Formats: sequence, C-alpha cells, structure tokens
Amino acid sequence: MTIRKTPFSVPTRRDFLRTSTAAVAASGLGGLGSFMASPAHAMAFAPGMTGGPTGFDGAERFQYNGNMSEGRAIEGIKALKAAGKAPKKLTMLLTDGAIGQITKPFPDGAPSAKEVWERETGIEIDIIGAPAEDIFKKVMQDVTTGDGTFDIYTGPWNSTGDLVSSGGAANCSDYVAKYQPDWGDPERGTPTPEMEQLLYTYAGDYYSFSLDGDFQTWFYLKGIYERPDVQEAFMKETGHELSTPDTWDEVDRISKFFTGKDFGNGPMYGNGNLMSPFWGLATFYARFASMDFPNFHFFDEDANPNLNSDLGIQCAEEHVRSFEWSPPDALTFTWAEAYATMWNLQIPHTAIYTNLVKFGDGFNADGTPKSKATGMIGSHLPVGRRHGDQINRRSVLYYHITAWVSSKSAHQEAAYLFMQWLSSTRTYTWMAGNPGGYFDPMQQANFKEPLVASTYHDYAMESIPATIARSVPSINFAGQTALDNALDEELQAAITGQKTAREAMDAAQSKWERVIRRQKRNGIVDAIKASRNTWPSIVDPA
Amino acid sequence: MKASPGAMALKYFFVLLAAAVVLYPLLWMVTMAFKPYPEWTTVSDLTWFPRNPTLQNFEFIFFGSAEGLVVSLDRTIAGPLMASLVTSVCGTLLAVVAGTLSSYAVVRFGLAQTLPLSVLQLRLFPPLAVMIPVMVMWAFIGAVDTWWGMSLIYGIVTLPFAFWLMKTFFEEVPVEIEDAARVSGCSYWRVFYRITLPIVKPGLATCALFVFILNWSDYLLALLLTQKEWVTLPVYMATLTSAMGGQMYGMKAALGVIAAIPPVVFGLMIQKHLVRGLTFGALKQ
Amino acid sequence: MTDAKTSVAPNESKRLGYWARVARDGNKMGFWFVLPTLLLLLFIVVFPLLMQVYLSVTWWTPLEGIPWYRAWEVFNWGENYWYMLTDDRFWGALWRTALIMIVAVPAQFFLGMALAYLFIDNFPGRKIFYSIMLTPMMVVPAVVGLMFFLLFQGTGPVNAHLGLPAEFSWLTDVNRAMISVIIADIWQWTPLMFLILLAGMLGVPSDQLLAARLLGGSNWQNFFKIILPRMKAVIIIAVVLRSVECFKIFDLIFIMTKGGPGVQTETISLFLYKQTFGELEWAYVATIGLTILIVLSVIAAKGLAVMAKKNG
Repeated sequence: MTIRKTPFSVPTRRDFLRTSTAAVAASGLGGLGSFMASPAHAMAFAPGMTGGPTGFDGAERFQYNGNMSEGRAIEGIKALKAAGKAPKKLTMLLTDGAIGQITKPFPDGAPSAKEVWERETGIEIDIIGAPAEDIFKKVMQDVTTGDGTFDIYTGPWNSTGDLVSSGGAANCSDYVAKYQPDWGDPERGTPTPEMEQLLYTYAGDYYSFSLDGDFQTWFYLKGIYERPDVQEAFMKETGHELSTPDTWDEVDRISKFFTGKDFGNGPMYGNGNLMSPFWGLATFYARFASMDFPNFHFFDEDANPNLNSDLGIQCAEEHVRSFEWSPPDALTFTWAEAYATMWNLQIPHTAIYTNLVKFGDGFNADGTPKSKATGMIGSHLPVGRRHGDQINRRSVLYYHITAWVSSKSAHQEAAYLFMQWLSSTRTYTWMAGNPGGYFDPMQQANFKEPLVASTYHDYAMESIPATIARSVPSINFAGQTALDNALDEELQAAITGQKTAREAMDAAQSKWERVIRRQKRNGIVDAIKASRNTWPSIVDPA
Repeated sequence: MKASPGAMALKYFFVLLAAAVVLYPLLWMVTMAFKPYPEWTTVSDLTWFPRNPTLQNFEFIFFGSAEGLVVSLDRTIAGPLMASLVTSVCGTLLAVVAGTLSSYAVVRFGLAQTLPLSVLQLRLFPPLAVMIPVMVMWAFIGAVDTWWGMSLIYGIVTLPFAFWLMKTFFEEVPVEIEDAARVSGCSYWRVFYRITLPIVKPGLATCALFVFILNWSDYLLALLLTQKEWVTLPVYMATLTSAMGGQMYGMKAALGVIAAIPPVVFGLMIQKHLVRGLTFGALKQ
Repeated sequence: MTDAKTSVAPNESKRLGYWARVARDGNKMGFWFVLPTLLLLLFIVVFPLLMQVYLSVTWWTPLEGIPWYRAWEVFNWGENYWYMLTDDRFWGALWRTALIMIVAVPAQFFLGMALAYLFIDNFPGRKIFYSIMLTPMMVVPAVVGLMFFLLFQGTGPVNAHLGLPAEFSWLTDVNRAMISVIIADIWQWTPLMFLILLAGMLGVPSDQLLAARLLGGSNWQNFFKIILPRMKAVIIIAVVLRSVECFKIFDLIFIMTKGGPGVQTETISLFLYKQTFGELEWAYVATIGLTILIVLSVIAAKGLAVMAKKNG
C-alpha cells in the first residue's frame, strides 16, 4: 500500500486540505478558548448604553440604547412580552457554515450574539443547520408542506422572488415602519440607498434581511505582482507593465501570462475565478454586465433574454476561453477549493467572496501564518471594459445569505425583531468580524470597524464597499432557479467542449424564453423590468 | 463428490476475493469511525486501522462535543436515533398487523383476490413520482414532521412486503388443522387467534424484522416528510457537516456504523427467509 | 379491529353481539381483516392519483400564490405533456437511469450467478462466507452512499491504492461520477442476485445434477444444460426485481453526488426531486409522475400477460 507522492507541487487537493483545515481549526480555537468568559464584565455597559455585548475592549462600539435600531428591537420584544405575545423560542433555519457566527463568542472575553440576545430578551434561539447549496429546497419544503416549524428562513438572496411569489415570506413593511431599522442609515448602513432597496426589499416591500456580503471582489497576489523578475518577464512577453487589471482584456492577458509559469512556488494557473457549476455563474454574470455601456443587461427592455446577442456570444466565448487558464479541476471547485488555490500561490488573481482573506491571510492564534499567501494578498476595484474614456467596472451580487420571516410563523413580529436586532449595524458589525462563520461585511459601519478590518484586512476595507457600489444584481425573481440552471447547464456544456459558445447561448436563450413564457402569469416581465432599474450607473474614468 | 485440490484452491481464491470486495468499503467506514481527525484522509498517509484509535467521533455525535475538537454540535444523535426507532417500530406494527390480517383473509376466505397484485403495484413506482400529492395530504392532515405521520407512510410502503410474506406463511399452514378446530366448534376468530397465529409465530417474527429493516433503511420519505423534530438517522447523517462547511468524515462514519448495525444484525438473524421476503414469496429457500 | 374479548366460547351461542357473529362468519371476518389494508391502499392511491391528474393539466406551481385546489384558474390544456416530450433534461435523466440499469443489472446478474455457482456445493467456511456475501444489501442504502462517498474522495483510499493523485476526482468528474455510482450500486445489490439465484440453483433437483455428473459432462455443460434451463423463472424474478428497484434509484446518488457534476448522474428520481424543490414545477412533476405511473402499469400488465401465456 503505497501512496504516490506527486513529484512536483501542482495544486493538489491534499495541499488544499492541509491548508484549509489548518485555517478552520485556528478560527475555531480562537473563540472556544474564551467560551467560559467570566461574568465579571457582564453588566459593564458604556455610559448611556442599555444593551449589547460586553467583556472585551471596544465592546462599547456594539452596545446600544433605546434610540438605536438594536435597542428599538429589544424594546419591541419587551412590549410584546408585556402584552403576552412573545414566544419562548424562535426557530431559525440557517446555512450551517454560518452558525458559528451567531453561536461562537468573539473576540476573547465576549459572549456570543445568541447569548446576548437570550440574556436581554429571554427568548431562546433554536438554530437548525442545512448545507448552503440545499437550504432553499428545505425552505420550499417548509413553505409548501410545513406548518410553521421555522420562524426564520435563510437562503440565497437570489431566491427572494421565488419565496415571495410562493407566499412563504412575511411582508415586514409595517414592522420596518414601526421599528425603524438602520439598514439604510447614510453613515452606517449600506453603501448606497439603491443597495438597501436591492437587499432588503422585493417588489417595493420589505421581506429580506441581508446577512452577507457576497459581492465578487477582486484579490491578487501583490507579493508576486510586485516582484521585479515577474514585472520584467511580463513586460518582455506582453509589452505591457504588470499592474492590477482595469478591464477583462487585461485580466485575460494576465491570466494567459501566468499559466504554466513558475515563480518559485510551483507552476501557476492564470485564472482563479470560479468556473464550476452553480458557483461559476457569478463569474459569467460579472463579465456579461460590462459588455455594453454603462451596463449590458441580461434582458432587454421587453424582457427578452440578451444571451445570444452578439455581445452575449462574445462574452460566452471569452468565458469559455478563460477556462484554458484555470486549474485542471476548476470545474469541481466550490469557493472553498478556489480559495485554496490562492492560498497556495497557484493563481495570481481571482474575483471571489471576501472571506477568502478572512480565512487565508493573517496569522493564527498560535502565530503560524494562515496560509502561504499570508501577507501577499492585495485587492482592487472590479474590472470592466473601456468605452471611450470611461470604464464601466462591474461586479455581481450572487448567493448572499439572506433571511426571511416565515409567513407561517406564529410569532412574526418577534421573529422580525430578532432579525432587525441581528442585522442592524452594531450587532452585524460585531458578527461580521467573527471568524466563526461566513457572514461577510457589507454595511458602511462594518468597514470602519477595527475588528472587521483585523479579520478582513485593511486592503479590503476600501475595495469591498467600492465593489458593492459597482455590483449588478444576478437573477432574483420568481423562476430564478429555472433560469440559472438552464444557463448553467449550457455554459458547462460549452466549457467542457460539448457545444460551441454560440450553440450554448442559442440553447440557453431558447430555454430562458421558455421559462419566461411559463412564468409570465407570475409577473416575471414586470420583475425583470423592475430589476433593470436596480443596476448601478456609476462609471470610472479610464 | 470431492473436487480436486486445484479446483478447491481456485474456489477459495474467488470466494476470498469476493469477501474482500465486500468488506473493503465496510471496513473503511468502520475503522474511519474510530479514527481521529488527522487520519480521516490520505493527505498525510493512508491508514487502514486507526493508529490512534479513539471514541471521540461517537462521543461527539452523542454529546455534541468531544475533547480535542473545536467544533461543536447543536443537535446530537439522540433525537434522530429516537425518531428512527419510533417511526420504524410503529410503521412495522402497522404494516404487519394490516398485512397479516388481510393476507389471512385472502388465503383462507378467498376474499379480495385482486389485492395481492394491487399491493404489489405500490412497489413498482418511484416514490418521487407520487410524492407531491402525498406531501400535500400529509400537510393537510398535519402529519408532516410527526411520529405518526412517518409511521403511517412507513406502514403503507412496507405493507406489500408484510402482506406477501405473511401470505406465504399462511399458505404453509395446513387447512386440515383449522378445519379440525372448526369442526370441534371453534369460531373463525378463535381458530385464527388460537391456532393459526401460534403456528405462524416464527413467520410473524421474521416478517416484523424484515419490515423493520426496510423502514429503518428509508431515506427519501424522511427527507421529504420531516423537517426537524422527527428527522431520522440517515437524513441526519447526510446533513452533518461542520460549522465551516467541512465534511466531518469520522462523525459521519460513526453515524453510518450506528445506522447500519440493526439491519445487518436482524438481516443475518432472518437469513433463511430473506429470499422469501425479497421476492414477495415467489421463491423460498 | 377485532378484539380477542369478542370471541365467544362455542357453548355460549345465544345472544351474540355483532363481533361474535363476525367471529363465526368467515366472510364477515374476512371483510374486517381486509378492511385496514384496503383503507390504507385507497388512502395512498385514490387522492394522489386524482390530484396528479388534476395538476398535470394546469400551470400550477407553489409560486402561483393560490392554493393547489384552485389550480383550474391556470388551466393549460395539457401543455405540460408537450413540454415533457421536448424537455432535454427529462430525456437525459431517463437515459441516465436506463444507462445505470443497462450496466448495473447485468453486472449484478453475472457476478451474482458466478458467486452462486461458487456456493452451490458445501465447503468449509461456507456459512460464514455466505453471511459476509449478504451483508451489503442489508446496509442502509444511504449509508452505502456514505461509504462510497468516503471511498471515492480524492484523498480517499481508492486513489491511494490505485496510486492516483488526490486531484484525480471521482465524484466530481464528468464521466467517473457515473462509474462511481454504478460501482456502488453493483456492490450493494449483487448480493441480492446472489441470494435469489443461489436459492434457484439449490432448487434444481440434486439427483438430476448427480446423474449429469456421473454421465461425465463437464461442469460447464452441466451448468448450461441442466442448471440454467431450470432456473428460468428465478432468473426472470431476480432481473425484474432489480430492474424495478434500479429504476427508482435515489438514496445512493443523492448522497454521493447529488446528481452532479452538472446533471451527469441525474436519474429520473433526482430529476423529479430537483424539479419539485428547485425549479418548483409541481404541475410538471405531476405530469411526469402520472406518465411514469401509466407507462409502468402498462408494461407490468403486458409483462404479467406474457408470463401467464407462457405458463399456461
């Protein structure tokens, strides 16, 4: 029984597992060591504050009183209790990778978010985990056949339309008016008012609670880009200076250059973007959005798909070509494996979820680096295309864990109040810094917070909000799953060479038209038109 | 008749080879259940037998945390284990009682001659082809995620096995014995209850164990008809991942071992009647 | 349900209650005996069938915002049936299901037959090996899925034994995922074939075998001329049973690959599952479900008729 040792260090899954498990173990350890935080700090609120976490330096930044969003939620619960309308327990269906963020204490000496809530309201939070890819199936199962098992659902933001159409999500507009959450606060809330509309409302009403920051953000290996020998080789081969890319053409040029090159860390691959089923759609959508100026929409004004237009096919061709520069098993990558390729210095750049750097850059509690890439990562603005003297940099909002109050819940108001408390800028900022799960920062307050900066690093504190402002929404209206699956299937067929890009786009186009025809009764056309208005208009000088 | 030594050796070679193929996956799972985290994969090295055997995987799934593990579990195995037991047992009771009674009526009184084929048809279709109405019905009567809702569906889907198995056992009971009892003045019920049932008792036990195995092995129905309180072992096992999205191989293997033990033990106990059960009585051994 | 207390001793034949009369009337008692089963059958057959027929001619999905019984508001004249006929994904899933059946069932048959032949004579240790051989089919299918999921990990023992690198993926490779699934199915269900075929072989009268051997026929000749022809019915039972179960395959694949990568291991059951909870096309699922019911029923009826004809 012998195991062949791979003679050269190509990106192996073993390496990945070694690195990533180390990161996992480390992130878990940090919290658990302090699980038995002494209650001595328990009531030490800063002056004027009435609630929030205690017991660590800077806890006052996450504390609140009755004039703040979190405080209003707590007051609301107290009023419900007084009226005898509060439940003993709220049940939440949550993506399993995010549970730690609510249940693990952070930082040292602190309680967990769950503990703070339970202490202040006496309402127990019962969390049921489900895998990220499957969670929405479970949500729909409860919507269609359940009887109020869950008070709160979570799932991908893209599914909000499906959930609202099926009547599974409670309309929270009245509660929002009553309790005034600070999601859209100009100082602390979402980077733009449009973003608040996009993340928290559907068809003009409040249904969703944003718990994530899934805006594909560009990261690159600064430590390799800036090396003189790399610079020189790039100049020699391409005739250009190696700098962070502004356009997709430049991205492809850099990808092509790095593929097969060895700069002392083993041979590299050029394209670190997600290309796999389900996750790779985000890469395609981002590339698609900048094809025209200022935006290239997925649908035209009359809700006809743009997939097999000339620009659409060109985009598909570029997308398929970029797979040449991807690691060989990129089609099997989830975000976790894709992260590992950067942590192992096998790819020069990637547009991906922001916790790439949370789990892979910096140092563990025991002082060891989280990955080989520690200290080498940088971040830049999304890329786009040059149109005259302007560039339309575009990223995409995709997946993005979102919560909804179940319309079957017997305690909608209490569930709403818990979600307002959890997603308001103070609690959420505190949680976003917690390495125990994958809720990513997205509110302005998050980016000003040292705890968040310490886990997500300073270089990301500017690029992430700038990326958010330039992000287009992926598909999020009723029929979304069918649309995404159809396109995904065809893209995969093109990438694996079973079809040409043109054939794939023609097929995807007709599948989309078919889905739209089938969904017409459910108002898909209006939803598509409404969605066009939520796209960003911001462009940058070239 | 003695085979030549060469033929015998060849025979043993093939038998041993087959046994090895059968045991290979089983052994990997069983030993995995006793391996500590570093030995779960072949990243460092491949280990067949745990170098540092540990019970921490079992400890973890039973108590929600284990020494040396940073992750913890909100829901332990206790609930799912209970759910699997309760629903399988109740489902078995339902199937065996209904199957026994109706097969007796078919065999002795010649009633409902189309019943045998009708129940058989239940097994013909992929459950997912009919699950939407079933889910709607279950939701309507409030049976989703309840012990009785699961027991009911288990009882129904395993009814064909119970029916056919008991049918073959009843067919083996000589009519003469019953007739003799009837002649001496026993009512039909008394004959059934006092004479026939005791005779088929071993068959009844076989049937119950067999049906229990089937119920215990279900995954799909529990996946569709439970949400949280009555999630059964296989469903629980499949969703067990760590808080960081990593696969908890060791814990899953430990769960797999626990889930696999009852059917394997019971299955070996009723080995003799397996053929009969699995072929709906078409074959006996 | 009848109760033991209601039975009466033979000499107390006067003033009989209803249950006592039932106990003395074979047909009446038989009716009560059959009733629970009939009720359960009706419960699980009638309503679901009606609902499926109803839904299958509408657009209805849970996204519609109206309860299912108001589905007539979105009546669509059976367009779903047309959609089904032209749906590549449905036909793809059907084809993959057929592929698994075409590969796995014959493989199980031949392996099972070979194994059964090994076990036809007694040999030291036969009992133990017999039990070992039966184990796989008793393991919960979901656990079998888990076992093979573990085996086929990049960092699992299969790659280590074959000397393949960890990035030689099985479950996420376009072709190898299907191979992995089929291997798992063969592993689990060959024992069933073995069990049934062995029972059939042992059912061949031993004096005929003995006579054949005494006449000096080779083992092969004995096998093909004496054993095989007498096992026809058993073989049909075994193959039909496995084919039916194979068509329904879900647990194994759902745990090993979830139908992936892409749709490479998506069988009809997985397709229906994803349509139900992913695309939420409930009316469409009802259409397909109903079609499957009808087609399978027709096949079953035809098959039974053919069997009856041959036997008769």
